[in-house]
Amino acid sequence: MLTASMVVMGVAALVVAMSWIEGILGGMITSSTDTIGHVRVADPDFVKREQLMPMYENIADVAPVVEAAAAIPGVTAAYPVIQTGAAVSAGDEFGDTFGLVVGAPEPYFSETLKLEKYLVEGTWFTGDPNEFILGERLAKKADAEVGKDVLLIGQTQDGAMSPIKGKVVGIIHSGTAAFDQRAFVPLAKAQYLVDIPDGAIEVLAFGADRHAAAGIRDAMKADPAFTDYEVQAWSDREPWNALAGIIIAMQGILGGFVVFIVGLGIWVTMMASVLERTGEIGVLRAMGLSRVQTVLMFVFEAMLIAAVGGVFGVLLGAGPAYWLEVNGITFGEDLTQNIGTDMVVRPVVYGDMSPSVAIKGFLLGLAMAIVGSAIPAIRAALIQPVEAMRARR
Amino acid sequence: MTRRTLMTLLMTASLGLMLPAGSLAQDAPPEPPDVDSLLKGLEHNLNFESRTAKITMIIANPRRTRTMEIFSYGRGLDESSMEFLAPAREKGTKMYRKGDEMWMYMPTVERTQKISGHMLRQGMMGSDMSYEDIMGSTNWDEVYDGIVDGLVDYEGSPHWKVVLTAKDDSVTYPKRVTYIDQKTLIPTMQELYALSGMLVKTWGMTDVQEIAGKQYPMTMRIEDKLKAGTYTEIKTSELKFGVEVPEEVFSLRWLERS
Repeated sequence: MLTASMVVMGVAALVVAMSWIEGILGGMITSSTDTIGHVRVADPDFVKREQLMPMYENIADVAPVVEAAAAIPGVTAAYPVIQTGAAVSAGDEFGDTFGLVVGAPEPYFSETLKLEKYLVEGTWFTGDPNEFILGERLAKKADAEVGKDVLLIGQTQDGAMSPIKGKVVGIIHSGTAAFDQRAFVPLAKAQYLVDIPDGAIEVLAFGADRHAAAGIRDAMKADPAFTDYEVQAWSDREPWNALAGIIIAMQGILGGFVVFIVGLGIWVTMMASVLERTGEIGVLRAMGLSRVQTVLMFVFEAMLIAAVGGVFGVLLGAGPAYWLEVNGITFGEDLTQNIGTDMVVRPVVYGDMSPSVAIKGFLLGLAMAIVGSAIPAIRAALIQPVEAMRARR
Repeated sequence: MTRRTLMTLLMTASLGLMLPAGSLAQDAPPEPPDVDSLLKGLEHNLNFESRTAKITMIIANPRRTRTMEIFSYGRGLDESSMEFLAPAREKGTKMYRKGDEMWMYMPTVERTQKISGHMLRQGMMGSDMSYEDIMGSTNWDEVYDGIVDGLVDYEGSPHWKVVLTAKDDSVTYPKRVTYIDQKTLIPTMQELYALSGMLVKTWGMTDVQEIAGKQYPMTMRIEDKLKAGTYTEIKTSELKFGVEVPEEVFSLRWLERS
């Protein structure tokens, strides 16, 4: 009973912890891949020196690339995107407010980034080419208001100073720096800003979900239309590929720790059981039970307890995990607004109670039983029948 | 005299005949001029009281080449203005420099921007020439200490090699190695170095013509050595010195006047 309780508690703790980790990091990756695309097509030289943002390494004629990307099986949408830095000013004075300008077709903003739901002031794009939508934090820094003009001074692909002017029609508040410190502008406006009249810096392609990325990437790489370009799934790109590794590593460390602790508990309870049943073991050994059979008997017994305990553990852990999935935990905007603009970290982070978490929790419960029962089982196998009979009172 | 000794003497004589006469006669090399007088001559050519000119600026990088037409006005060392005439994207853009300050009018947004801070180090209109390069004084004798490092052959004509070291490290180029044409006193080539000693830019001046008593390079070529495969060529035409330039051209008001 004590062993079963140990397993139930261990598996329940594992299920909650794993769903939490998958929720935090998995959610961060899912949100980020909405921004960076499940698969990206870009100039190979741009990819090599991406940190320097070499805008001259662009896709000069982007329409055929978008068309080819959209034709790849599994691709649900493909958008040309330009991202560049600019000084933002709303009044007569030029301030020192800098923001990231994102230029793309409207469906990228509304359907993929789903920014419309974060609108807190003004309206969504109406189709006027001179309309801008600003993140709330950027708007505040630049003193920009809905209905007023805002000036963005960036650079052309050649490094020349380049200004664009537009009217702020809406302000969004998402709670994450990745959106709230950006200016969203129509693609044509961004093309003028960086002086790439028919081009873009990258084409972002999307599949059904982020797990479709590898298949889409491989199909693109096999397509001659993409020979001159670098095609990358989100998981090929830093820091997201590192993040995927971190999820696996964290789950491994956490799993190992819980297995060790619960295994230790099982070891204690099983040792007590072996000591209590020394006489019984002696009788069984005297009746011809081999040492291997003795080991297997105890391990099997532990696994049986772990299997039953694992099921109850999963059920017990699923409750809090589901609560985390529905309600989440609020990190607060002080953290998410200052974490940088590369990662999309939401202020409220939700758990992810998936079937894989339940299966992993159950299997780790069995692993705990094997680890915890191994030494007591060997100890039982080493008992001599005569000594066991003598010890029996 | 052995046969071997004779051969040695003949070979020595033959080698002697192949050497230029000068090396045997050893003409006395020209006395290096005083660096200040060299720089004064250079400044006489490049500086002016007033000037107007049409400039064609070719900005090339490995991906594309752009050509810009500019009309330029200058008054003394401290004031200059320019208006971009082409291409369409840049047409109407104006710049005004007064001393260490510079403003740019951007017609597409109808705004005047003061160029300051980090923007000064950016290439003007994406060229290899920064705003700082334009604003930098050509009164080199005030900014640099120099030595004349001899008379050297540069692209077939004798040039004084002058090494200029800044009196104050805060200048854009703390070291300049300048090849000044002995005849025209024009710096045919300048190598501009950063404080670290790294070659940052080269600045060539060619196609020298005599205009109003000055030798003036009608073509300049600037290469930013920190960028691969880029250059900017500036071709001057319709150059006039000593012309009367309307006062309003050197004002912020002029920038926003269409």
